[in-house]
Amino acid sequence: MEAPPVTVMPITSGTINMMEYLLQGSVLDLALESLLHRLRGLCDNMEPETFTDHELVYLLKGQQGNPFILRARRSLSHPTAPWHLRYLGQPEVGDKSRHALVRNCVDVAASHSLPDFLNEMGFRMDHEFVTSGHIFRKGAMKVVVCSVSRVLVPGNTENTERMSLSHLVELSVLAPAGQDTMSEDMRSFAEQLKPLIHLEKIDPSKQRH
Amino acid sequence: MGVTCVCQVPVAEGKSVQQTVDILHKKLEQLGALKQGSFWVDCETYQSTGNAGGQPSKLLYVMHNSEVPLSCMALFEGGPCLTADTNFDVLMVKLKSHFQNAKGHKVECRGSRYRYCDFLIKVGTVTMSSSARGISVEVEYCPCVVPGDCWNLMREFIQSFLGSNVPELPTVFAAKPEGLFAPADCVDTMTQYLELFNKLRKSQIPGSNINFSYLTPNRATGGLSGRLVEATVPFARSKKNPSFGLLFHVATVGGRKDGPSCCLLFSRGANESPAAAQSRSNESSGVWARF
Repeated sequence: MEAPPVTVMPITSGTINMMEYLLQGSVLDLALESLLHRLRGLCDNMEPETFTDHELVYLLKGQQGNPFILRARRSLSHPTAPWHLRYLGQPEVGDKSRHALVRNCVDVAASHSLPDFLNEMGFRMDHEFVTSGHIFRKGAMKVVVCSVSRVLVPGNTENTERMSLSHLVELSVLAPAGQDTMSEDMRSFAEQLKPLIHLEKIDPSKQRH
Repeated sequence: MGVTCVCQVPVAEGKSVQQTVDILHKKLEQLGALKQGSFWVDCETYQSTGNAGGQPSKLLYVMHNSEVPLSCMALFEGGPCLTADTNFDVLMVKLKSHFQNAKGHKVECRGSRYRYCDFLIKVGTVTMSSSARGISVEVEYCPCVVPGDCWNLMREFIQSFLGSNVPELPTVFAAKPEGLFAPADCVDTMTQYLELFNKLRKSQIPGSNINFSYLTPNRATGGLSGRLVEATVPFARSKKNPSFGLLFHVATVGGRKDGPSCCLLFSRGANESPAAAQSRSNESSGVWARF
């Protein structure tokens, strides 16, 4: 018949091959104020931003191989904001001399039906936690300083307990694959935060117990 | 968004799909509707590869609509529905080992968009693996979000150009008596499109050229083609493989009018191998024995 053929297109929309460049570290609560002070001075001049997020980690187990992991996050301070769904790939082995951890990253904004939808897809919630802290920016770089709390009663974000007496610090950039100059910029920024904090390339797969 | 109704319009007798669409366009223009560009709606089907807990695998539909070009709607039939940004498509690529894209199942609906006062009308041709399967008409009454308050008005308006083909109140609205139409997203609209696509997927248009295998018990001979004379409701899809539909048709084979007037046909997905077809034909021999 005279209809045009169905277009067979690869994905035309969305950001296809985005990588997350990441450096991590931690700072004792005692030294938190000095670090925040330093970051206020170094980062872009913006209104200080704080956040409280609830993050749920979902696993989809297949017949073989590793489970597929997705992270669903919602803001507790802005309950009407969309949910944030994130896929993180395996860290790239690649260049050992590269200064930051590099992994594939897909960020999706989603409606509030996300938990139900993930359940229907076959995902099961593995663990959940609440993060609370500050966010800074410098150009494309993002610095997150936050405390991590475990959720004592599943689903109840009111009832939490701090994991430790320190704050997690993450310096990250999202960029298309192959922009290795990013890790240079990150390294020089991290240098400026010494000796308050040592941001390092930490491979999460080597931390599992 | 206002209240939307999506319905199927049968192809006019003796006319092709395109001619029927042209007639609808003409009627709308005579009514005073203004053409405002074009629109598209598409739907990809994904099938879960894992069989967790022995449940039958569900179909996941991922849809797009030109009215909300940066969004992506993911639906389970009768289940929860997710509105996400278009990065969800990228995520489905990552998930390909768990959810397989049934490529032959992609459905598209394209056509013109008209505005008539507070109404938006979209007349589209529904296409499935390069054959036109039917005509859709979407009517939206923009100023209202309560279906019960404007349904009679919409009905009257639809009647003015569709005549006797006026649809019933869409089931998505019937299911929620006093509930408001979700104005922020187009989930109800997409649910209606999905229902329409699934209905059209299961049907064939008489007069269309099809390729089929002529089945004898335990044997499939491929490569025949013929003109479909009459289509009947396909047999229930196999649970094991929902992309497979058995159809019983009366057809002339390869143009021969004096050939078998009755044959058992089955439509084969574009990506299915002849070997797979062969194995299915064996399954169907029980059905064949009935005739």
